Amino acid sequence: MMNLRYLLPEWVALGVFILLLIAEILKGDVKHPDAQNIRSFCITSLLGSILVCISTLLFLKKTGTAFGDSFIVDPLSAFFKLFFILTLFMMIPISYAFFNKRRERLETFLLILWCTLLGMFFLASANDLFVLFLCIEIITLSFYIMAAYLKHELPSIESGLKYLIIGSLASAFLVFGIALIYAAVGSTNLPVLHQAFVAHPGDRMLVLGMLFIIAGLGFKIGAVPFHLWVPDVYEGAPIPTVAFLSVGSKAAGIFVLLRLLFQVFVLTDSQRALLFSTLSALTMICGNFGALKQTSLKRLLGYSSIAHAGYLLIGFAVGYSGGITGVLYYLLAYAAANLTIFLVMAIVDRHLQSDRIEAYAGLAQRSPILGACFFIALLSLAGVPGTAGFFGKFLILLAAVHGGFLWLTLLGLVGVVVSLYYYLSVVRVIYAEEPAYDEAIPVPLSYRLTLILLVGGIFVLGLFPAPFLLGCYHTAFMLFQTPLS
Amino acid sequence: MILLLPWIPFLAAFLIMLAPREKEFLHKQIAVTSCAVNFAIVLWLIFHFHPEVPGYQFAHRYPWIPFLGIHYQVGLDGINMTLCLLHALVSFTGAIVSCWPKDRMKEYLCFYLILTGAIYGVFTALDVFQLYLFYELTLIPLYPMIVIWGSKNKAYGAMKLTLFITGGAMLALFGILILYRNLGLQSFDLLEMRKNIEILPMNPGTVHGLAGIFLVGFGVIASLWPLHSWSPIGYAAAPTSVSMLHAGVLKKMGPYLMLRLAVALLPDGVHYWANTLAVLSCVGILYAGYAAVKQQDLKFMIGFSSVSHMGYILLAIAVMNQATLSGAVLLMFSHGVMAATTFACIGFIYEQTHARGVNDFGGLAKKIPFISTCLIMASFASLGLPGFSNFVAELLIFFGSWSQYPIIVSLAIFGVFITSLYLLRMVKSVCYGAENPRWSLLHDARTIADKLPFVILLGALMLFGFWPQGLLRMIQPAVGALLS
Amino acid sequence: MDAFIFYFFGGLAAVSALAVILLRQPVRALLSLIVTMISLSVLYLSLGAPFVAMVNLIVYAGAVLVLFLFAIMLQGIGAREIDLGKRFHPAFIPGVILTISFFDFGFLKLIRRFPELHFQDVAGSARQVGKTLFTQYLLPFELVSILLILAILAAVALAKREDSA
Repeated sequence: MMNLRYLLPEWVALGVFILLLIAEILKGDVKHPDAQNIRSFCITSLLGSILVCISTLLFLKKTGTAFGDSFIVDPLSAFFKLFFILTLFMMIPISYAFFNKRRERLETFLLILWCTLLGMFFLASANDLFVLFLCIEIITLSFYIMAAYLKHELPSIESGLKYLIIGSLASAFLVFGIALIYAAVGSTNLPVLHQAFVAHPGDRMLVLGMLFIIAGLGFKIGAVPFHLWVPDVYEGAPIPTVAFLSVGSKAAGIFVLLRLLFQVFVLTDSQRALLFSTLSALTMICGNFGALKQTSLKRLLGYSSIAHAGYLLIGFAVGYSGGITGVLYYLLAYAAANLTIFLVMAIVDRHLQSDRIEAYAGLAQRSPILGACFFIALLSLAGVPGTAGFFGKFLILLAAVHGGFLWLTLLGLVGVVVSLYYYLSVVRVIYAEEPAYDEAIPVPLSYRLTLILLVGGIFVLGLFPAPFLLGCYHTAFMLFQTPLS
Repeated sequence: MILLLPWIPFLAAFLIMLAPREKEFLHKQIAVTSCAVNFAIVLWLIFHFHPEVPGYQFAHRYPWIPFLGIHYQVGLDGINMTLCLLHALVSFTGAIVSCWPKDRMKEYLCFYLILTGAIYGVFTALDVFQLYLFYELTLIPLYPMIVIWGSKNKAYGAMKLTLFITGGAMLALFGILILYRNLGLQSFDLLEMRKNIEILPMNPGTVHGLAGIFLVGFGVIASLWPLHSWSPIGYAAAPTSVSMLHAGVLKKMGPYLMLRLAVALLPDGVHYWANTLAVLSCVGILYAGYAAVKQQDLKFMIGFSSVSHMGYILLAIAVMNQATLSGAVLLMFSHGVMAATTFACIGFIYEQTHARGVNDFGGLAKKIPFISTCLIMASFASLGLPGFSNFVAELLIFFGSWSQYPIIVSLAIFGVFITSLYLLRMVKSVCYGAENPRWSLLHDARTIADKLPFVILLGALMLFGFWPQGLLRMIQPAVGALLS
Repeated sequence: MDAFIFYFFGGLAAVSALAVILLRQPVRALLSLIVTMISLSVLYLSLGAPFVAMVNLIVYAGAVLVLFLFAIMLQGIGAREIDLGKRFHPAFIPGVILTISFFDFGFLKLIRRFPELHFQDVAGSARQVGKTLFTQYLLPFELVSILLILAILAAVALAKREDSA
């Protein structure tokens, strides 16, 4: 009935969160920020996240429900929980690098990150539209706060406000869709909804509700035509927020889309193919061509993330285990590369004081390790073989060709060439141009270790993909088995 | 042994990355030693290569991604043995040339070694995924190398080169994916594909389309007209050893991959496109030759010249018989070595003078006799003068193609004439004539380190010029196996 | 009758919501907000959810009153004493008395004529809401606590006033 033991990862996460909250309340001192305190806070978060990670690993193969069928444990949720906690683990050094010695408080930011993580964890296990929506709201709300976090700087507040308005619109779409479906079915439980969809495939209210929900989720992922907020918000928000937004929020959106599209909604293959290949094509074109003229690095990464959403949507158009395996692997690769880039950006932000690409000139000379890591991460985003990004794209395009989506594949390949242009322009600036100031940028050991971990991940995912591929395939395969007890 | 070929340079690059920045001499030692070791391995492989044994020798196969049927598979037959030798020669001499003074030597050598290793990977790979992986990998070090250490127009040249070749690679990937699906073998193994292609015939439309895709996709890097425009600009912008490697070896990956994927697996498709390919290659020969005549910059001239020479190889592929393909592989080798030598000579002069206009020099034969001699010899090789292996190769191609495309062959021979036009004119204005007082301080190749690259390259050209059988005995059985 | 209530109060809610955005004076905008809230509560009532209707009124009206205060503070009206006699229009007090009487004796009597408008212990009553909240929807209920903590963190991070230096 209650089966609370299935919530072990969530209990651990909650425990760590409460610990950090109490520590902050008792020891946090705004007027005299203590470096030692901040450091121990971060280390506690890191250790906590490792604990949560371990507890998540225990659940990789289990299935079950709790809370009267509104909480589910299955391979898909385990995969995404692992993904979220690993992302959070990487977020802590990024936040520390950025907020260190800034006037805004790091501890509060980390607490908000943990709230987001809790929301993501419950989202991954949501078996009920109600819970789903609530968790999406938790996640989005945290991002509103994190985007506007630099409250003394106008761009940050502006990006937070923009995200608030557009995000509320997205939530409105979602709620409307959920309301329509609830009105038609009379329950919010996902398996029950699935039965209803199977029983009444063409029912207008159901289809309309489904479309509204997909639209709302499209906002989260940043797909065309719901992508307008992405470049603006990415440009103004602080670097750690953009990092988490590009990786975590996108993954959360993809997860919900996976869960709903393949385990609740019932679409014929051709309907799904038509809808998602159109969305994907438009998104890839918009993202890749939009990035060509950018002078702000964060904006460029915003458009690039739109393009990557397009590639992920190819996997949705294809469907079946092949397409979904590609989507999952692509997410992993994308996360590794993006987190590397944002870590580098967070480290150098204090030295460069600017977001323009020219400011990064000569980065490789000022710090070879940062330049190299940035270079490798950009190559991974472009999809150069040897890196994780290539294998992700390869899997998705392989699935697309298998499914007969030849034009979409060609478009994706053209997109790679276009994206190579703007990624290599950044590479040129890092490597070939002379830096404005010659002083070297020091990179402490902890950051070096994290960078090596991330770049190592990029190479391992790119060159030794076999175990990860099997994991993704297993998860994807289980997605299509009898869903949800 | 063969497995080490790509990984020794990668390891050396890694070691250089770890070594401290100031120890430049150590970096150079590591780079040259690793290329020398690879050279030694290739020579060992050649001496133990038995041309009469069919199939691939020194073969190894390890499962890599069993889920998709991808293996790490290496093996050598006559064709890639020759190309490995070419790469060993050019990369070794290029490594020595890379050590000519420049700033940020450490990064340069790192990139150079990664490039070298990746090319070895392409030439030894027998699994299509692995092949493609290494092929695209070669593109990556090129961009930073040209953009950082290049000369005139480096940003534009580097980007054009990378985007063009990547575009071709993407098209080829598209073809590979379709091939994988249509064969239904769940494997990327080239040998398995070859075996099964007769048993599982694909419909002719697919075969023709796929062959076209591969020809165009790899044609970009083979500078098939009209997709060749990246080549002269790219070479002109690139630093010397990059030009050597690129014109010498990288371009040859295009026809090599055409042979491995299009000719071996889809011969009917190549037949379908043969006429188009032959015409395009002929246009390329003449157009590039004519363009070379008009160039004022030495590197641009040689760039167009290399486009022109690739036309012969592409023509040979269009005809697709024993003679022409053997000639093609031999020409790949000879042209590669010759182009490397030429760029090395030009680079040597450029290092000191920072000028490379055709009319900027004069009387260099007296001033720098060694280098001028090398330049003249390389030009003669390019012309197809007997005594150099280019002659034998071009002869094979012309004789092999005559019965099928007499008009095109005549035009191609005319192309030889155009080549002699611009090369001899270049030799005259650069090496002979009045000395240009600007370069009174120009010095010749003095030390052994200076002279060694030229000696090795020209030595190889002449060795196989007088003894083409040395290479042909390896190439011909392999070509025969390819065509059967 | 149901249709009339829906269209009338739904329209009123929409119009007053627009008025909130379009009106220039903050105090008038807030008054329209109260009208919106009241209309929504009536709609909830007509759907058979008396508990939600009342809670809606209490919470939102309370929230709006707080906003009221802020609006006045921000406007920084030079608070000046207005003479007691001059504060209200002469017709104001009789108007209020008339409205209340109309509501009590007129409107309510009208409504009592239609028994189907009476709501007794239906699904939306406080008892039912409480029961469902702690059994069927326990998980979302607990999750809201995270939302609340987030709101507090937001206030601390974004809205807290820092002492300078």
